Amino acid sequence: MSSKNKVILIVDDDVDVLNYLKTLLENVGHEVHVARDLSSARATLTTVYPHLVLLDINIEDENGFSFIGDIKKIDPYKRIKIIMISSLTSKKALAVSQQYGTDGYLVKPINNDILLTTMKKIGPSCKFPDAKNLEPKFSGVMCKLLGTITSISEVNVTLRSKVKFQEKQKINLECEFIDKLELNHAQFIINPPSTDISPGVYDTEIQMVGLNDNDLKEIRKIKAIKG
Amino acid sequence: MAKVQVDSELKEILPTFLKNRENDCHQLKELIEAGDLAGVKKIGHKVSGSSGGYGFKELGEIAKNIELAAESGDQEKASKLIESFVNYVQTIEVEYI
Repeated sequence: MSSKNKVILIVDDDVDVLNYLKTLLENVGHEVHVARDLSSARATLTTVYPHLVLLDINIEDENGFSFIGDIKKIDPYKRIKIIMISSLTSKKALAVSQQYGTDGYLVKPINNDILLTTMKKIGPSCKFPDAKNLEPKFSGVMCKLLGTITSISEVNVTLRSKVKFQEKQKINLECEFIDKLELNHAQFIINPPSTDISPGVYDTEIQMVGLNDNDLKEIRKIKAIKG
Repeated sequence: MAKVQVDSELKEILPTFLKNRENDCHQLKELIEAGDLAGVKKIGHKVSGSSGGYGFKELGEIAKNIELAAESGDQEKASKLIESFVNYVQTIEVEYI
């Protein structure tokens, strides 16, 4: 994914609006996720960390503004940009939007020109900081990332995620699959660099150190079943 | 005949949009007959918010007027506008540009 292409979550209860915005934004290279209600939007936030949220104000019987609190919970430093979308043109709606600290307001119907101009304007501010070359005093900094274990062998697992690892380091894996195999006692060490799979998606080999004969036997069983 | 120019970028999603408008026609007729102006207003609001983007500006305007008529409790006006809405949807001819 180029730096110009963003991960965008659109929350709107109107399927025609969702289809329209999704089509136009995907056609210019953005990764788009959609949700028709706030519970789906909350579920999406557990697996996707968007650069930008396009958020409808009136979502069936819910208030779109209430979702802003959910975004702030995972983004206390306000790196995720929020643009409200609504048919409401009253000053009150705009004022409320500003009070919530949103980054813009689009009035429906939204046409192609308005959408692309808005993206051009907000695009440069939709970016997350790179975490690299940390000073030793920050070496204890921890972070969580979401990913999927896509393969396993007797020596390593492959983690598919949106993070590109450049340095060898230990990692903790919280995974039902690892729990089930009782491999938690092993040390997991990233074997850099990650390889590019598709724009913004990387595979990282993670070496497993300290496995015993029984662990290896269990892993071979899985391989045998898969084969 | 409602001849509308639609961006060819929207070719894949337009059938769903048009199908949804046909459903709106049925629903609007039922709702206005039942005197359910709140339901009529809701559909008018929804269609006025999406049509313009697809290129159906006139349909969006009719829908907006349906919303306003329903909001003000003017059932007769809403009923006439729903007729226009149905007539428009039934005669749509799309030209992709």
